This record gives sequence, C-alpha cells and structure tokens, in this order.
Amino acid sequence: MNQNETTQLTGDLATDAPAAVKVHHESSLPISSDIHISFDNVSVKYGSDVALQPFDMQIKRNEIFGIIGPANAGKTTLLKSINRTLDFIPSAKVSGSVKVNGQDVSAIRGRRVHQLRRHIGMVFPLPVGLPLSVYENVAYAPRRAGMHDRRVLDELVEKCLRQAMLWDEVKDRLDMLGTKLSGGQQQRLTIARALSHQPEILCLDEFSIAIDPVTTMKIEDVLLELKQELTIVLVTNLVQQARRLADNTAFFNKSELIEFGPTEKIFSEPEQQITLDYVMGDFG
Amino acid sequence: MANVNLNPNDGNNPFARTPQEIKRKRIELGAQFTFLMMTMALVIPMLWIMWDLAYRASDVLSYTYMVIGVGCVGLLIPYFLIEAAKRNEHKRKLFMGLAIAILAGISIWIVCITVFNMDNGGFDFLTLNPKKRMTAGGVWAPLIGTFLLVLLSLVISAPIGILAGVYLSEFANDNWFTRIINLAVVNLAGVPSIVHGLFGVGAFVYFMDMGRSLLAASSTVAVMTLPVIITSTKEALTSVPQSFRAACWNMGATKWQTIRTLVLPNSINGILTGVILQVARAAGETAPILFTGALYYKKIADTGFDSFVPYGLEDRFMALSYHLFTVATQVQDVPESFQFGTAVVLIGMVLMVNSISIGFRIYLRARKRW
Amino acid sequence: MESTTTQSPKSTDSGSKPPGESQRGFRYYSNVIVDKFEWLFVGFIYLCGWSAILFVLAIFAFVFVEGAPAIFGNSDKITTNTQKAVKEISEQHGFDVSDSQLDQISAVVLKQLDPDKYHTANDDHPKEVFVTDVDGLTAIQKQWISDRLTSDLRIGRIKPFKLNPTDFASNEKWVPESAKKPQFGIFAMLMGTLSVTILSMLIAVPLGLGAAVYVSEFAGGKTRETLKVLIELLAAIPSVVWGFVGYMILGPILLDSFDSAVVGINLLNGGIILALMSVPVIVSMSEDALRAVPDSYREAAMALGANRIEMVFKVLFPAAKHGLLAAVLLGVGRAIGETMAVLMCTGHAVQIPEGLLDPVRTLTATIAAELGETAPGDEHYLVLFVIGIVLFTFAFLINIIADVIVKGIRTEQHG
Repeated sequence: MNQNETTQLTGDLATDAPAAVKVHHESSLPISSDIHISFDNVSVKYGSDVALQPFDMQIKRNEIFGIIGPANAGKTTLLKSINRTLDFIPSAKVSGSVKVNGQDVSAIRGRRVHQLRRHIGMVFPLPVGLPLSVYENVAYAPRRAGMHDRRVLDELVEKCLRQAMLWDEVKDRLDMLGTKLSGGQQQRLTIARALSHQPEILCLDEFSIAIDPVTTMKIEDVLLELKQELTIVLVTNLVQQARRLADNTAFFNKSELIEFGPTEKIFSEPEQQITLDYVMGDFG
Repeated sequence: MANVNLNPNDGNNPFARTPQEIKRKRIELGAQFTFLMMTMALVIPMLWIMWDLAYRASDVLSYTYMVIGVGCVGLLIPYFLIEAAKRNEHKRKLFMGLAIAILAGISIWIVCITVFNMDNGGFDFLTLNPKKRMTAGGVWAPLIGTFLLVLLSLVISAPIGILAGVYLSEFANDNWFTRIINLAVVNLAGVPSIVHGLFGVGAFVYFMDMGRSLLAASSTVAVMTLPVIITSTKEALTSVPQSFRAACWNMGATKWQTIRTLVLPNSINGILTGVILQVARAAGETAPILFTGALYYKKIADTGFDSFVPYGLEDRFMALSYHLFTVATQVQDVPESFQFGTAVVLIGMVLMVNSISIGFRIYLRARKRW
Repeated sequence: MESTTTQSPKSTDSGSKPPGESQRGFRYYSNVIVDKFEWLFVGFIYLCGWSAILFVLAIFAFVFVEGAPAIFGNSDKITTNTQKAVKEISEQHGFDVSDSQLDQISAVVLKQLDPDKYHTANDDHPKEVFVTDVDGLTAIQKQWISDRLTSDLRIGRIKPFKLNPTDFASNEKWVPESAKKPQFGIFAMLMGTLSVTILSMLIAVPLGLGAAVYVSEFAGGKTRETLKVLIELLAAIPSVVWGFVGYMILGPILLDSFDSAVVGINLLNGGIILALMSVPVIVSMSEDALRAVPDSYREAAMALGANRIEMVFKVLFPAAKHGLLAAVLLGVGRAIGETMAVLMCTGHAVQIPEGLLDPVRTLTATIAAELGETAPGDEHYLVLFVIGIVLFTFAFLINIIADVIVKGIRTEQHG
C-alpha cells in the first residue's frame, strides 16, 4: 500500500506538472519505500577533524525535515554528504552510507553523480548570483540537462522565479546580470536555481539569512505547497522556523546527532535536556 | 569677539604653528620632493632616450612618424567631435560633418601618398629588404622573420599553456606533485632567457635534430613563454570565485560544463591579456634565438608571396632583435639612422602590443561583472 | 509526403509533437555536441596539462644532463670516439674487429687516459696511447690502432675531460679555445656578474623604492595611473634595445665625460643600463607591497601626529619589509640573468674589475658570445652548459627565497 502510494504520488507529479516543463532525466532513481534519504552509521572527517560523529537518521518522502543546532554542528557537511559535493573537498572522508531512494550515493560512479545532483536542489546561506543574466541563471541547470527549447525554458524560468518570490521584481529585467541584484534578491535567485532542475529533494541551508521577514514568510508558504511534490531538508538556526514548517526535526550539537523525531515532540518533550535547553533558548 | 581672525603665526592663537611644526612640514615637503625627483630620475631619462632614439632614426622613419602622428590626431579629433556632438543637440550636424570631413581628408591623404609614394623613401625602411651589407634597404626581412617567429611560438605555447593552466588550477589534485610542478613553473618564469637558449640548443637543435631553424627557435621561445602563460592563466582562473563553481556543481553540472559555461567566459579576457604580454616578450627576446635559428643575413624575395612567407620551418631566419644586435655591433659602416631606425621599429612593435594589453586591462576593470 | 514533413518540421503544426523539436538551432546542436564529447575536451586538457608538465621537467633535466659530462667525466665520449676510430682503421686496412675486442680496446684507452682525473690548468695527460693486451689482434694491427688513437689524442678527439670544481670557481683565466692548454675558470666572470649586479642594485634599489613610495603614497589619481603605465612600458622594452642604448648613446657620453675612460662600454655603463632595466620590476613589486599595507595603519600613524615621511619610514617600511625585500631580490634576479644588454655594454673583457671604468664580462654574456662557436659535446660546449647550470641555480635560489619571503607575509597576515 505504501509502495503504491508513493508511486501514485510521483505519477501525479509527472502528470500535474505541465508536460513541457518536465525535465527528462535519463534514468530516474528507483523508488523503493517511504524512506527517501537514510543515513546509516554516517560519519565525516576533514583530515583528522571530525565533522560528523557516526549517526543513523531517516528522512521520509514528502516531508519537511528540519535540522537545528548551533554553529559548527556539522549541518552543512550533512547536506554536502547527500549530493556528494564533499568530493570537491580533498580532505573530506565519508564513512557509512548515505542512501537516496535506497541507493548508496557513494556507490554511484561516473556521470550518474551529476544526475544524482540534479535530483537534489541545494541552497547555501551565502547568496550566489552567477555572472549570467537572471534568465540564464535559472535556465542554467535545464540547459545542462539538455533542454534548449526557448518556450519551455520561458515557462520554467517564470515558474521557478515565482516560487522563489522573485518574479515580480525581475520580470522586466531578465537580461540583467545575476550578480548585480541585491543580496536578498540573489538569495531568492539561488532558490529559483535550486528549483529549476525539478529536484526530488530540496536542501535549504539557512536560506532566510539575507531575506527580509515578509518575503521569508511568503517563501515558507511556498515550501509548504512544494511539500506535496518534494522532500525538503531545512537547515535553520531560527528555531521557530523549524517549529512552523518541519514535520520531523533533528538536533545536532558539536558534530553529533543528539536526537530526532516529530517536531512537536522535539519542541515540547525531548529526550535530552540539552535539546530542550536549545529550543527554549537557554543554551550555553 | 566672535570674529577673531586666527593668524597661524600669531603667538596668541592656540592653533598657531610652532617652529618645530614648521620645520617638520619643511622636511616633509623636502622628502616628498626627493621622492618626486627619484621618480623623475626614472621617467625623464626614459623619455629622453625614447626621444633620442626617435630623433636619430628620423632620416629613415620621418615619413612613418608623420603618418602615425597624423593618423592618431586624425582619429582623436573626430572622436572628440563625435563625443561633443552627442552632448550638444544644436550643433550635432556641424560636429558630425566636421568629423567626417577630417576622417575623409586624412584617409584620402594617406591613400594619395601611399599610392604615389611622394615623400623621401616613404615606407621604404619598413618594406625593403636589407641590401649592400645592411647599409641600404630596410628591415622587411627581419620584421617578417620576427612576425613568423612570434606567430609560430604562440601557436605552440598559447594552447598548451592555457590548457595546462586550466588543468593545474581546475583538474589537478592538490598533492605534493602538483605543488612541485607549480613551484617549478613559477621558478621557470624567473630563469634567465639565455638558459632557455641553452635548453633550446641542447633539446631542439641537437637532441631532436631540428638543426638551427625557425622551428627550433620558435619552440625555444614557446618554452620560454610557457611558464608565464600558465601562471597568468591560473591567476585569471582563480579570480573567478569558487562559490560560482560550487553553485554550478550543486546543479549537477560537470566540471567541464562549469568551466565551459562559467569559468572560461569570465576569465578569457584576463588569459588573453597575459598571452598578449608574452607576444611582446617573444618579439623582443634575442638570447633564446641566438643559437637556435637566427641568422645575420639571408636573402629573400623582394616581392610577391615569397616575401611574406620567406622562411620555411627548416630554414634559418632573420629576426628584428638579432638584426639590431648585428647592425649595432657586428657590421661596419651601417648608417646611424639605420641602426636607430631598427631600434625604433622594434620598440614601436613591442610597445604597441603592450599598449593593447594595458588598454584591454583598463577596459576590463571598467566592466567588472561581479 | 513523409519527406516534405521531415524537411520542413516548422510548417507542421502538430500539438502532439514536443515543442522542443521545432527550435533546435545551431546553438542546440553545438551544445549537444560539446556535452557529448566532454571526455574529448577534458582529455585534451589533461594531455596539454601533462605535456606542459613534461616540458617544464625537461628544461630542468636537459640543462643538467647536457652539462653532466663536464662534471662527472666524459668517458662515454672517449669510448664512442675510440670505437669509431678503430672501425675506420680496420676498414682502411681490411681486418675485422669483434665487439669484445672493441670493448677491450676502449677499456685499455680509458685506463691509460683516466678520464676521472680532473682537468686543471697544469694537468699533464699522456701524449700517446698504446693498445696492448687485446686478444686476437696481430702486432701490426695493434700498432695501426695505436698510431691512429695517438693522432686522435693529439687533435683532441678522444681527450679526457673532467672539470675540477675548485679550479672552475677560482681560476681567473678563461682560455677555452686554446689547442694546447684550454683553461676554464669563471672567477673573473663571476666577479664581472657580481660587480655589475651590485652596481646596478646600488642605483636601482634607492631609485626604485623612492619611486614606489611616490607612486603609492604621494601621487594621486591620474598621475599615479600614468606613472604606473609608463613604468610598465619601461619594463616591456626588450633587452637588446637597452643594450643598443648603452652601446650607442650612453657609451659615447661616458667616454666624453670621463678622461680616464678607455672605452665607453664598461662596468659603469652596464650598471646604469641594468639599473634602468631592473627598476620597473622593483617599482611595481614594491608598490604592490606598499599597497598591501592596510589603510588603517596609515590612518593610525596620521592620528598619532606623524607626518607622511614618518609614516613611510616608521610604519609602512617595517610593515611591508618582506614584500620590499622580495622586490629587490627579483630585481637582482633580473640583473643576474640579463644577457643581451650586458653583452653589448659591458665591454666584454675577461678581467676582475678594479675601477668603475674597466670593461668586464659576465657569465650570461660569455654563453651568448661563445656558444655559437662550439660543437656539441666538446669541452667548451660542456663548460658553457655548466655555466648555464650555475646561472640556473642562482635564479632558482633567488626565486625560492623570494617565494618563501612572500609566503611568509601571507601566513603572517592570516595566522
């Protein structure tokens, strides 16, 4: 039944989205169960520095999974271990297995790595506008995936920019350089880019740092809508943001997973005292 | 009471200058003047040397000076006129008309004097081959030799250097071997050019059995410019922030796609600036070609296609820098104006290429993309 | 029908077709091709990267390998030339020599000549070679071979040669082409290089630092940009032109202004020209070093009531001392390695200079002047390569020291 439901959902995704907007992935990763991402005994080291102690964690399909914790807790490293961008840091060593859709990401070889990254949208805290036009910023990933049809791209760019709440501000100047936008706009452009390759998983790392509160609230609403289509991993240092949005929440401290569970439980009656201290603001 | 005139030298004024302050101020001004003089001690001799060179070469190059001078004025005045026309609505037509008239007049003048060759010698010094043991004719043969040398060495070193720079900064892992290579490249850029010449003799002329030829000399010059091209390419590439690359990789772009679509388009201008600078260096260097292919004198065709491609890959060739050395120190009875003319042509060529590079860089700084 | 639809897909207005089909232009296909053949491009980059690395290593290897026989003895050359001579003589007289006999002969020759003995000015190598103790050769054949090898020895074809390091470094005499007793001592030329370099640095360092201070601290706006461009252009002037200036312009001036000057091209001339050549390097590098000092240092100094001179000497120079030192070192490197300018304007006389107006000769000028007259493999050629190794080592050391100094600043600033 579970299996059926998930296939049903992805089927809906495929049909609901306008046919033209669908990015064709050469080989979709197989859908196995309700668990979308699972960490089995994963630990990460940078040289001799331990960035993440061994931990187990599961992220379910179509949920918003909040990750909270103080600075230097290994949250960003965790996101990087999902889409294998840790490969670009020579000193980083991952042990244990990160599984996306049941497939161990470290076992992926060759060009399939890039397909894995196309399944995962990433937004990092520092706004990065590429030195391309706003339009090309958003159309970058679809183009790399082999889509060059102007009409399809137009639709896709508009949709992603609307979802990132940027469309109204830039719709008249799509040919402007992405680097010339303001910091908050660049951050939303980054979100639009992360959505542009139609990912199954969206990882947001403290996305609201450069964005004003009103727009942040609007984006949060969009995230709640997107939950129907995607799994969202939300790393945030705004504890209340996690409480508002997340279905499940994990708490990391000093590169260790303290606990994870349903958000209400974490916020009202966590198993560890330190978690309670952190969510109540009594930390440290 | 309110309107007290503060005299800086008045003893009652609390802000008056003390004698000590005045002395310090004088010392400061004196030192500033000294520094200015030091700078001038560099700039003035250089300008004087340039002037002296140009003046003593004027017998053979006066016509070229005139054409270049009039050409520059003839381009600058219309440029300012057009700029003025953009600002001034009322007299736009007048300004534009004047600009066009000046441009037309100068082009007609240049065409006339080129076709009818009115002046004394005209461009003869540039277009004729050396004759009568370098005492007559011009510098065409060495000029075209230098051109071919630079072209050929660039064909070898630019692609290899640029791609090696891309490899070293984008693909190579950061391990001890790469670090040694980087150190070697940096050090090689500071190795004396005569050592490169020695390498060329040992490696290309004898070991690879190219003999003393255009090919051997070009390869030597290419090897000399290679490390600098690699270094400047790496610098241009590292000026593209790492976060751009990370953003592309996160969207599933491969390394090559990232380089092709983002890194290269944003650094190609910097890379080209470095390459252009090496063109100037390759044109001016003498030591590396001294034993690898340059020749005192070689008779080449005066007209036709052969005068444009006079040297094959296997041939020895004349080069402007070596020609200058020859006419200055090795050959008797060369008229002074010929010696100075050769020097001016060489400097003119090198400085022109360098000015292009400098202009390019200023233009780039003006349109920064992030 | 089918052919017409495939030829003009734009005219067919079918909703079922994916809209992408109709707009595939040049850009689409070029992108597809470039992405499809990604491995090709990446492979090409790897190829170029590695060939450049090979080139770089080859330069290091080649200069050393070419000069090596002069340092470790040229027994290989003796062996090959002996065997060549024996083969010629055997063909001439019509007898056969086997490979083992050849080996025996060359072993005998090597033993008698002893190529491991250092070449010095006074060495006394044997004047004759006797081939004895070779199996299977008649006495007359041995006599033929001995005569031939002795004559080869006299004309220097199988001469043993090994450079004595101490003699090489300390001998003042440089007589490379002498048939009887060639002497290879670079001491005088080393002194020439040193004196020219020191003289040029005495002129260039104060001028260069002063100009750098003026450009970086006093000149403003347009003046600064103009001066920087001028100095950059100064750096671009080819060395042969500098040599020409020294030879044709500065030389006559010096000859006129000093009564005691015998020739216009001398140590002073070379020093001035080299100073003018290395000044742009010093100015631009030290200007960078001064610019790298944070403005807060300047503001703090000003706030304490220092005037600009005190600021320059007591704040900026100490703060930028590493960068300035590196700049001076690179200027020294350029002066030592310079070839054409010193070849043309130092007078080219191998002697230890006693005054500013003496002509001298430098290491680089020696290579430039003499390499053309040598044949590959003979002593003179080998020694010139050894001089190349010496220059290479100088340049390498200077670069490494400058590099370490500059790296030192970086770690100081960051850590």
